[in-house]
Amino acid sequence: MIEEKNKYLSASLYDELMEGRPDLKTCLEGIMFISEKPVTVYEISKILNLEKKLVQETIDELQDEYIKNNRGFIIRKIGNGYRMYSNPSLKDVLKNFVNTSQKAHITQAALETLAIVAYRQPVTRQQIAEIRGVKTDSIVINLVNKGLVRESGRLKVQGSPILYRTTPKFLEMLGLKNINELPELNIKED
Amino acid sequence: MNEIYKTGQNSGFIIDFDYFSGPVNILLDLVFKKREFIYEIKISEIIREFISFIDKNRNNTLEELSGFVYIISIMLDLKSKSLIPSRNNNVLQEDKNDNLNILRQREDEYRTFRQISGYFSELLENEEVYFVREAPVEEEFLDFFNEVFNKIKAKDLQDIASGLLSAKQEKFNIVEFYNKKITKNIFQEIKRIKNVLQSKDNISFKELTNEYDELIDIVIAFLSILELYKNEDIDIEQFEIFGEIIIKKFAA
Repeated sequence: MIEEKNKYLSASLYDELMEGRPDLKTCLEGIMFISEKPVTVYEISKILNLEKKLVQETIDELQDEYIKNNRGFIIRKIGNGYRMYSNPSLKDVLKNFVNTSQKAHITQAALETLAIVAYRQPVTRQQIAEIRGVKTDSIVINLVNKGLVRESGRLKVQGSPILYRTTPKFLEMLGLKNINELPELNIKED
Repeated sequence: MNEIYKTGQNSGFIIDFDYFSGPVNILLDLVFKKREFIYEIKISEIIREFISFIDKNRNNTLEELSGFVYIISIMLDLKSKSLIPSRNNNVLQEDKNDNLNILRQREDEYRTFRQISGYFSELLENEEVYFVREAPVEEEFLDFFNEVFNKIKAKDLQDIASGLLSAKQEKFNIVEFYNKKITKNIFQEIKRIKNVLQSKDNISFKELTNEYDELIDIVIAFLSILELYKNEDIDIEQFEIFGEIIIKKFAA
């Protein structure tokens, strides 16, 4: 039975790991290591049944430790949550290791559409088209499919057009903590 | 009136329809004087006549030809705007300067968002130094795969794909539609709708048109409703897409 459980670990190492009661830092590392999206302080505090303040302080300590010790990974705050990323100094090493073609390619038209949604949200496709001067239906649908934009109710006017907002994935893609991090718009309006 | 506008009368191209006979610039002048006249004009017919005219008269100058294109584009603009419901928007009396200001404002707005998209590009570039564990299956599809794909067989997918890819029969015949004899006009229909609304506070579009067999009659009824809405004679409500359209008396 033990052999089956530990076929990738020696019995002594498995026993050693199982004996030590995991402390909060170990738990946080484990949770963030397996997570495929940013995990919030609230989610962690709920799982571990701990105060949010304690969880937040420990994440901050871990963040500092990784940077001070020049580890291969770092913790970044993205949107409302935290996620493990590779150390940016490993860029050249990892680009040959990771299939970079998997990175999302965003066209200029899609970036302009995203910019309008980000600043004017919630916004309809018609309102986006008015600013860009061209129809943007397929671009918006594409952005929805990519998870960067989502539907957010309907505008209460004739025809009830769908309203759109940006998603946490949009913040994640641009490395933003929240939407307020975007610079202020400078448009002359009469 | 600028020079290119005047050239419409010198091109030698004369329209000869039941509702009007003369040069196109005079027709446009009439439209400016009597806005309802735009509904009578069939721009596609004028363009068709003009194409046949230039086929026969190859010696027309570029200035004369562009004069026609200019006038027709104004008419197209007026016609399309007259069909869109928009309150407090007297299309034919629009101040050109206002339009120019709106255009400039939109250009400024677009330019700003273009700059922002450049900023987004920079942020994306900054993100290229980070690598992160990617999800093997997008979260939104996890349930989809479990709930749907487990129950679907290859044969089901084949049937769905065959259905989608097979050629669809075109039910709507546009030529037939245009050749149909029109028995009423928008003004008569507007009068009828106003009469109906005298005896009741609201009526659905379906009820309003349930005696019409011809598609063209339903189209005329719909255009009449847009015109009534624009003139603040009625209010329109539609609670869901493709849902019933409710026409109500306008409550000021």
